[in-house]
Amino acid sequence: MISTTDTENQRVNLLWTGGWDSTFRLLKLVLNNREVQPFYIIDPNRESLGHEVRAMQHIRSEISKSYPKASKLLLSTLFIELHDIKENILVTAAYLNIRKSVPVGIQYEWLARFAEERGDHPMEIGIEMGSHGTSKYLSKYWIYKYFDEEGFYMIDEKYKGTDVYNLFKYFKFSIIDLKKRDMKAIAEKERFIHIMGHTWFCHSPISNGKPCGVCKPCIIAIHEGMAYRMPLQSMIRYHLRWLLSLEQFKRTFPGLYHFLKKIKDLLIPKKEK
Amino acid sequence: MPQHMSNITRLFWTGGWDSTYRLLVLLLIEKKKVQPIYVIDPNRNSVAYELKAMQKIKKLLKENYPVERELLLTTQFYELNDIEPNDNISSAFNRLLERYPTLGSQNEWLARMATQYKIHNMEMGLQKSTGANFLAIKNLIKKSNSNGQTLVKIADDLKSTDEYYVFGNFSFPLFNITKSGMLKNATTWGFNNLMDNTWFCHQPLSSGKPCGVCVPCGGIVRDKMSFRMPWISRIRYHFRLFLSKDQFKKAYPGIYEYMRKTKNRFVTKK
Repeated sequence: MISTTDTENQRVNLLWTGGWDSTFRLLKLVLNNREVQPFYIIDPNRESLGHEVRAMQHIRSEISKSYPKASKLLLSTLFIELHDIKENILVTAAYLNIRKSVPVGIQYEWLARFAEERGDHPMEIGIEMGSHGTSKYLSKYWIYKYFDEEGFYMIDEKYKGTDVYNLFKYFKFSIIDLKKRDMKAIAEKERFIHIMGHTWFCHSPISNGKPCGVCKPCIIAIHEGMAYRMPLQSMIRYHLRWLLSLEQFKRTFPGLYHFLKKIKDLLIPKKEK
Repeated sequence: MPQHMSNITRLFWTGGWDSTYRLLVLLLIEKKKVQPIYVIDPNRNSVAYELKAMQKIKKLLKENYPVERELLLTTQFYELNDIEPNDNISSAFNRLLERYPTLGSQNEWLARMATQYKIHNMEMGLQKSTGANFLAIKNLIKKSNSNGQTLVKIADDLKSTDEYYVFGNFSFPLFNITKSGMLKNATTWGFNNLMDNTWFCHQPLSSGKPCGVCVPCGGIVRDKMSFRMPWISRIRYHFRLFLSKDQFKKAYPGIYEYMRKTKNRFVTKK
């Protein structure tokens, strides 16, 4: 039930993509009487752009149907073009240094630059508990749970002055202690699972608009018990992913990949520049 | 209007030919600050292509005209679904539609957007043509000056007309120039290479090439600018009657109706 208390000083800046994790956080916030200012960074080279914006529109209209009071707490999304974000040498250098030893996604570099430029941080970012990549390092080593009325995670103060701190100090990680299936259980219990069904996850949708089944978010979704959200065609593609994606083939059969590459190089010599 | 906005020209920039031409004239020739405005319609297949075109043009501006690039402010984005209904505007638009059946639906939501967000005198890249948008307002336009901006708008004494409800908030500075006129000017002023990066197709193919069938693609051919289309799009343009039901219906209404009736006789509707 939404009360009528003043929500202005409780406004949360949330990086919202229309995906499972950030939408879960958004719903938890508005259903708990928190005003949310969503931000979306437009990367025109991301093939899923249209799908993500469509997902966000569907989610908004579902919220206003199911929870009309809560929908008033969801402000209009602020869209920012990726290439309009100001350069920031300190942030970029921190990212490049970390990248040498840890596989950190490039999005953290531009999101940190955006947060610094806007000056209105920390911003909430919907990252789930993960067993690999940035999420693994964040949850295992870098973050610390700070206890306020709800408890949230931020980068541990002991890293102050390091590259890790310079890159991640801009974010609040409120759902990093949850896995996708935990969020599903909560959404079912709190009866907003029907809205979660409108979220989007694939980075490279195929031409008929269905998830590719091959990209990283598709694979993560399947591995974390979300295969029921995949159409048959995407599941078939998932099982054949080594034949459909060179990256997947290389990762699964590195020896065979390098052997085939050598044969190819022998048969088709590279052109000299 | 706030003081700091008075010397800034607001422009509806889509990355298309007309609005990009206007943008470049404002920045490179008139040396004016520009606030671009873009509405995200996620159901439009060309959104990503338009955004990519704008990004490329910004990049080229930075490389070739770094001083003028600083005059271009960060684009303001609005979501189509956030635009509130407005019965007065929608009714006026529907009445205009009876007189000009091919009037673009974007005029209706642009008018609602301008009213909702109080965006006055936004420039639109509407060019001289035989299209319904131009014909609807061609006899109503008047030039005036406001805060150093030359306005090309529907005259204020027409405030009670349907045309004013729909188009009254906008200025149409390209009212007297055609696409080929713009090309001529862009070549004279030396920014035609930037114009090559504009986007026009509403329904790009999965290969990322223009479809050759949609209304803007047809406009490119009619304006004698088909050199901007790859050969596959030009071939599709010549076969457009077989590739698009709408195009076929428009060209052969009798045959279309006959075929529809025949189909209905054999395939009963569920």
